This record gives sequence, structure tokens and C-alpha cells, in this order.
Amino acid sequence: MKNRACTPLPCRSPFMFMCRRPAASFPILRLLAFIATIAVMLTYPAWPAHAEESTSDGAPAADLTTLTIEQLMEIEVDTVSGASRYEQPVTEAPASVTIVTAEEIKMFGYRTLADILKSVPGFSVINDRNYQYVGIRGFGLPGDYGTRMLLLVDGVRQNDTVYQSGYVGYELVVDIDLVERVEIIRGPGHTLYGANAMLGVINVSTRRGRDMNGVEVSGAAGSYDTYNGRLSFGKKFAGGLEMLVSGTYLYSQGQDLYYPEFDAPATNSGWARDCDRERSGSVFLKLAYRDLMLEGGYVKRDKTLPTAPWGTVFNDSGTETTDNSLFLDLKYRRTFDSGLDVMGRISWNQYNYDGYYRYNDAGEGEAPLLYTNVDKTRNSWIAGEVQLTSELGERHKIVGGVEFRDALRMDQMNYDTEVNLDDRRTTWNTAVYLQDEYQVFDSLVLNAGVRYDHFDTFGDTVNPRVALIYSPFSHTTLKFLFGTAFRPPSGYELYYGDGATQKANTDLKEERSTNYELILEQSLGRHFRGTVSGYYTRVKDLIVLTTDPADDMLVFRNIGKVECKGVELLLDGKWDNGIRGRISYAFQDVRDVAADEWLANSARHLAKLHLLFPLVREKVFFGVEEQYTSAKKPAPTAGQETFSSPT
Amino acid sequence: MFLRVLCPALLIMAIMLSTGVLSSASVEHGKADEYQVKAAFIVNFINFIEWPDTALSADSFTIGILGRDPSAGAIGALKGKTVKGRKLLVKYFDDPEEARNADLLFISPSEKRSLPLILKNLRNRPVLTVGDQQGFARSGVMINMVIVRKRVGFEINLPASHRAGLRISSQLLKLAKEVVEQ
Repeated sequence: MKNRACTPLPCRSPFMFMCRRPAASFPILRLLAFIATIAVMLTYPAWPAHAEESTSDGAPAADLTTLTIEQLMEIEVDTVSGASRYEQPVTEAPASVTIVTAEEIKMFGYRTLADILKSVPGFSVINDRNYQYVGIRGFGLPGDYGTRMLLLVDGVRQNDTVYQSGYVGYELVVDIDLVERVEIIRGPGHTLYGANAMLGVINVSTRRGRDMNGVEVSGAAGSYDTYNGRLSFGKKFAGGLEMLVSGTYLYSQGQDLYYPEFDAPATNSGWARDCDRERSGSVFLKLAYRDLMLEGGYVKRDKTLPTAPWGTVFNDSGTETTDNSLFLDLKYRRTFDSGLDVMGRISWNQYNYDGYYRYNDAGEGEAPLLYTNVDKTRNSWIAGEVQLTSELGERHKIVGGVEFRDALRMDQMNYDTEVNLDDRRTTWNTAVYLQDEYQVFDSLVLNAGVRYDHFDTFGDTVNPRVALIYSPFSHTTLKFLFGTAFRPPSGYELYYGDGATQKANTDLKEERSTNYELILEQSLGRHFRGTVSGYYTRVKDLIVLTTDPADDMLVFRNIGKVECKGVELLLDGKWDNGIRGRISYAFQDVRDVAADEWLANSARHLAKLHLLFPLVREKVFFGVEEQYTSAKKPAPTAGQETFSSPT
Repeated sequence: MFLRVLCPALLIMAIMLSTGVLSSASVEHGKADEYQVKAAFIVNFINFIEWPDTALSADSFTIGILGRDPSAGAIGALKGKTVKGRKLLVKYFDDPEEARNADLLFISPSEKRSLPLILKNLRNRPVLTVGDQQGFARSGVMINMVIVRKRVGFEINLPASHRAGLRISSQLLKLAKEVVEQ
């Protein structure tokens, strides 16, 4: 039910596609992946005691210049520029990347990840008063819960296995105030990212305890009876333990809303009152000690729906959804003197969804006969990853890794007066990848990688990525990118069937995309930096909700085909007096190839302007944010249900 | 089903095991910020280098930073200190051409790609070039700071300094992790 309105494409030509048997479950493959994993871990027992004896017990930083070279050479330093793959300068990244820092989040007053994404070139967000839907480069559909975008929190995948949703509102597992930076990659990005990294990768990094260094309390009250509060504590202790713990609560009464289509005496003259409430509570914990890090987050959010979706009763505050997400991640990371960087992690995620929908069973003119339809999802998965990074000689940097994910629970239920659906399953997948960053000449880098994924639902997929990064002059970088990516069919698309209007399709295979991109980055004097990029993306086997003519039931099929072409221009400016600005323009042409028309909800032109003026010495800022979006084609009305999305 | 449970369990164990071995080994001492230490190194280097007689001005010594400052102001904070009887000035450059007027030039990691061009611009100028990226010393940067076992050390490219007419004291050469000699 939740995804029911997800009609990604109007299906005009429901031609048959080749039937594939679901791949047989291959325990052997899984075993191999693990043997490789364990072997990798055990072949580095050369990690023995590296006893550290330091004579200088951290001289006060200010006095460092009075020390001799010999003394300085004894001081243990905290590297900020480690060999991390995520910390390479933007100009060196094999992708089109935007980074939004905590500073900008604060200065522009962004409250959710959706607010941040809205500000980023090429991104758009729509809100249907339940969830917010991210469009990337003109490809964004209501009812697409962020499935074609990989969302990571400190490297931990947040997209679940039932809907594959990447949430960007208050249902995101981390409070936006705890975010250190958000890295936004357009296109499939690295080989390091697998399923869902089709149109983009969003990597949210959280703050460190030492950055907070004490207690933080924040509270705010806003319009429509909105209150929120946060209490956090962060510190790095003398013993080396670093911690950050935080809790947030938000309540918003919301608006009373008027919908002309319901303007009748029986439906409260079109007014939905007390039906826009949102509540969210979250806790976050991060503990780091030496090379180990334990991180966890939990969020629960509920929202009443004023839009009376899917034929529910209008103006009934009983129609609401609850989402809760939980994750726990244990990560080990170490860079050895040899230059080898080892990262291993194991994480546990859970995503639960409860939707309550109020219906009226009474006929015209009869007394109301209300009942509640309940839609439930219980999803939990365990995931592990081992990744090795090493420099080979002066010119090669190799990254290789093994990943697995096992959804131990993937249950979908729907019931009201009777049980409509009770589907319980498990699913798993595994992957191996290898990438080489090869400095061909001083001015030319070739970044090439390949990734193999195996899913028990559809089988195997191999995806190559190649990037050429050329810097002919000191202020100019030219990048050419090619890559393919995929999205596996979700549990919802594969198995949801209520026996009345929608049926399951276990033959679904993965969606595939191929992406070409050319980027020019140019510094223009001291104050400006310009970026121009052009891209072409082709998506085939797009999973589309369509009607089976044989039985008139809704069913998902791999029949969509979409082409995205576009150009993005970006100019960043920064002046010595503290004023900064950013102006961007995107032209995007997204076509449904089968029907030969623009995709719904896809704007052709997107322009954004940001300006910041410091008012009081880098403390108080005056920010201006302007956005222009050209008209969008309304969402298709194929299938029998659509959203009314007043925003 | 059995594998499904076994595999994650093995992975956890492997991680625990390998980290358990490691964590017992060392004790954490007071750490310093990487670039605070590197800035202190930069000041120290000046004392170990002799510039040609006419190269330095009488009362000031200019440290230049070429490219984005990675030090979060740590190098900039050196301004006003006295070295070799001269007041330190810190200037920021974007253009290698302008950077020729510095006495010591720190080449930011952001300029890694354009290093050959930068060095060409500085050829035969009495500018001490300093960097902190792997391979910089071999590429012709005179002093390159490296991190070995979490401590800052440095490599020296001797021919590069000779060409620029700079003399590096033997004491500094002795402390270097590597001296490039050809």
C-alpha cells in the first residue's frame, strides 16, 4: 500500500519481456565471499605490537615553534589528511561531487537532509506531506522513496531491502545538527558503491566528539506549533576514548489545510484539520577508541496525512504512518606504516513501517462505517565489509573489498477485517570490487574499477567504472566519466500482492543504467571557481507499475526505458570580507523513451542562487537562497491511484 | 541457513580478534595537531638554510602558501615571529607566478597536479620549496614533510636546493628520512 502510488512511468506499450528464472540460491558463492573475507583479515597478522613511546607528552600547541627539530620529530600527530578515500580533494574525485559542510548547514539554517539537497545543483525535492522525494538530474518521481540514490551515514547503507528507501526528512536516522559534512555524488560514483547507486550517492558524515567538546543544548519553536529540542554531549577523553551522544525530539502540529477537490458539506467543506501532525524522536551514539568505532542511531517518526491518499476518508486524523530505523555499526580502521589501509565493519540495521489508513465501507447516503487498513513492514539486515587500500609504487593506488548483506527479516503485511497479505522472507547479496587509481602522468589520472554483485533474487551483475582526470594547467581539471550501475528489484516490487488489486512478480530483474559525463573545473582568479558538466544517462529495464491485461491486476515489470541528458553550470565565489556566493543552473532533458515524452515531475530548467553576508564577525550571517524551477509535467495518472500532492 | 549465521559470526570474530591483539599494544600519548607541528617544522627549517646574500630582504622573511591552505591557519599564525633577525610574513598565493616572490613556499596538497608547472616557474629562484605529499621530494620539492609512525619527518631534494643557490646545513640532512641526491 505504501508504494501503491509509485507509478514511475505510464505504461503505454506493455510488451513482454524475457522471462528469467530467479537465480538459484548459491550457498557456495556466499561461502567463497566469506572465506575471502576471513583470509584477507588473517593474512595481515603482521599487525603486532607497535609500541609507541613518546617522550614529548604533547607540548602545548602554541609553543611548538620553540622546540627543536629533534623534539618535533618525536611528537605524535593526529593526521587529518589520512589516506581516506573520502577525503580526497573534490577536484581529484572521479565524479561530480558537491560537499555541504556543517558551517553551511548552520549558516543557511537547513533543518533536514532534504533542505540540503534542495540547495545542491541538479537536485530537486518534492513533498507530499508524508515523505519527501528527491529528484536527481530531473529524474525523480513521487512515490520513489529514494530508491535510485544510495544513502550512507558514516559509510553505513541506510536504504532498506523492502522499499530501498533513502529518507531525507525527519525520518533520517541522524539529526542534521550532528552532521559534519554531506558529500553528494552525482552519477554512479565509485566502484565502491553497489546497489542503488544509480543516479547519485549521498554520504552523510557525523561530527566527532572532540568537535563538540562539551554539552550542547538547542531548542527552537516555529510556526504551526512546531517545537524541537536537542541535547548532546561530545568529548575526547585523556585516555583516548572519544564519544558523542545525542537525543532529539520534534513535534509539529502542522497546518489546517484546504483542498478544493473535497469542498463538500460531507467532507468538512474541504478543510483537513489536525491532520498534518509530525512527531519525531531520535538518539545517536558514537564511541571511538583507537582504531575502533562503534556507532548507533535510532529514529521514530510519525505523520498524519491530510491528503486522503488512496481513497481514504478525508479529514480523519487516524490515517497516519510511522517509520522507525535503527542501526548499529562496529568499524575497524587502521593505516599501517607500509601504507596499507584496512577497514572492516559489521553492522545491524532495522527498518519498520506501520501505515494506518482509514476507510469508509458505507455506501452513498448511509451512516459512516469506518475501518482501518493496516500496512506493515518489518525489515532487518546484517551487513559486513572488508576493504583494503594500498599504494603500489608511486603511481598506483589500489582499493579492493568484499561485502555482504543478509536481510534476516523482510516481512510485509496488510490486514483490515481480514488478512490481505502476510509475506515473510529473507534475502541476501554479496559483492567483490577492485579499483585502481593510476597516475599515468603528473597531469593525468586514470581511475578504473569493476564490481561484481550477486543477489539471490535476480542473479549476477558486473559493473565497470572508468574516470580520466586530466589537469593540463594548474587551475584546470577535466574529467571524463563512464560507468554502469544497477538497482535490484525491491522486496515490495517482488512480493507485494493483496490478492485484490495488485500481484507479486518474482521474475523481476535489476534496473540498469549507463552514464557518460564530461566535467570541466576551472579556478577563475582568487575568488571564483567554475564547474561545467554535461552528462548522458540511459536507464533500461526500469521497474514500472503497470496493469496486466490478462487479469486487470497491478504488477511491477521491467519495461521502462529513460534517457537523461543535461548540462550543469556552477559558479562559486568567496571574497576576503567573508561574503560568499554560489550560483548554479541546470538544464535537464529526461525522456521516457517508450512513450517519447518528458518524464513526470521533471523540470527542464533549475536555477539556484545562494549568498551569504557575514554581519557579526563570522558569527551572524545573512543568507539569501533563491530557486527557480520551470514548470513540471504533472505526475501521470496511469494506474488507478495517484497522489494529490499539495505543497 | 547455517552459513548465513556462520559467516557474519566469523567476520565479527575476525575483527574482534585482530583488533584485540592490537589494542593491547600501545598507550596513547598527548597528540598534537598535524599542521601545528608542520608549521613549527617550517619555522625550524629556515634556521638550517642559507640563502644567497642578496636574496633576503633586510627586515622581513616571507612564507608563501600556494593553493588552498590545509593548515586551518596554523601556518598563518607564524606571522610576526622572528627568524634570522627578520619578521615573518605569511602570504597566500593562487598563481605560481606571484609565488616567486616568497622566500619559502609551502605547496599545498591542492596543487599536487600542477607541481611540474609550479617548479618550472620557480626554477633558479632562491625560494625554498616545502611540501607534504608523497613523492614530492623526488619530483623536485626541496623539503617534503612525511608522516612515519604518526610522527612528522622530512625528505630533502639536494640538487633542487643547489640549483636555487640554497645551502642546507648538514645537521638537517642528517635528520632527514631520505635525501634525494641525483
